[in-house]
Amino acid sequence: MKRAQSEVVGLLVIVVILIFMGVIYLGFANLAGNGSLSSQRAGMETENALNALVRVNLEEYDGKTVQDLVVECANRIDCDTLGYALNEVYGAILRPGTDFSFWAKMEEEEIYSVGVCSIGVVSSYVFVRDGNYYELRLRLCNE
Amino acid sequence: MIKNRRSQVHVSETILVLFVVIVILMMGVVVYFKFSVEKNKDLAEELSEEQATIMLAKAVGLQELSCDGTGCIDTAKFLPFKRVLGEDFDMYRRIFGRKKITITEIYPVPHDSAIDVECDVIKYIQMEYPENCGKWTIYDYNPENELGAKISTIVSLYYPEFDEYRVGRLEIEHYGDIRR
Repeated sequence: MKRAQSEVVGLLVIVVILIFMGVIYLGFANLAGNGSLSSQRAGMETENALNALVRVNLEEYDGKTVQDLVVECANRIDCDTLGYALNEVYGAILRPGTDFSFWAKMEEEEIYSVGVCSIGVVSSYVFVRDGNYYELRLRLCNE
Repeated sequence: MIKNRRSQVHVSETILVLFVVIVILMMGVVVYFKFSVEKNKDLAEELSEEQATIMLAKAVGLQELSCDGTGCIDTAKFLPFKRVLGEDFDMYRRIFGRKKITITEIYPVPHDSAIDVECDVIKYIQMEYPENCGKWTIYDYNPENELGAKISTIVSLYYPEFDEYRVGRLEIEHYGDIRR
């Protein structure tokens, strides 16, 4: 009787070990998600959002582009218009719940910055106007 | 007599152990099979999403749609592209597979009357164009009428007729797996 009991206990131990191993396998198999795919898309979204922003003709601002407004800001003519334009365009094109940070530099000197985004992919766009080198940077993040 | 009984008990014990082991193995095989079927389904969906994401990245550079490699989409190419698509649909079906590709204008924000209105030749030749419509369906192939998942990105739209840039959203709806 004692021997039979110990055999049953041994069998139970084997069964428990097998179940334990199965659970660990299933857990690890489910871990592999598609996080890299969504981060790739986030990078693409940021790059395309900046690319679209610098080209778009702003109807409310006499058909000027954001590049024109950045140059005006750098020449100390007006920086508020740039801020209004950025909010108007990104308010319309970004998905609800997406925030942005935007920086503009002329010859490595920061001339304008807006936004509170601290984590996210950064995209940059460079252009030359009147012999000056400008760099625009955009970061998108989800609230 | 007693020895004979002991051996009978032994045999029945062995049979019981074997039975339990076989039941456990069968349960394991069934669970594993179900799990791999689920995993394959997930993999098919993941591959379809991956393919759609690659297409999303490549679409802006497609010669048939892009404004000569400057990172924007030429809206004047939509109608000719749709005509070419109709003439050689098999070729484009091999490239795009079972998908729906649409481009919607999002900035300047279209008038209420133009939102979700499909742009076609008739709309194109009207004086109000491009304010009279706000959406182009570039490609649509969903023979089994499946429900799809959507991915999208922002694109720069160029209107050569007015030398004007606007902003749109390129959306790809993909259906389940990567069958063509």
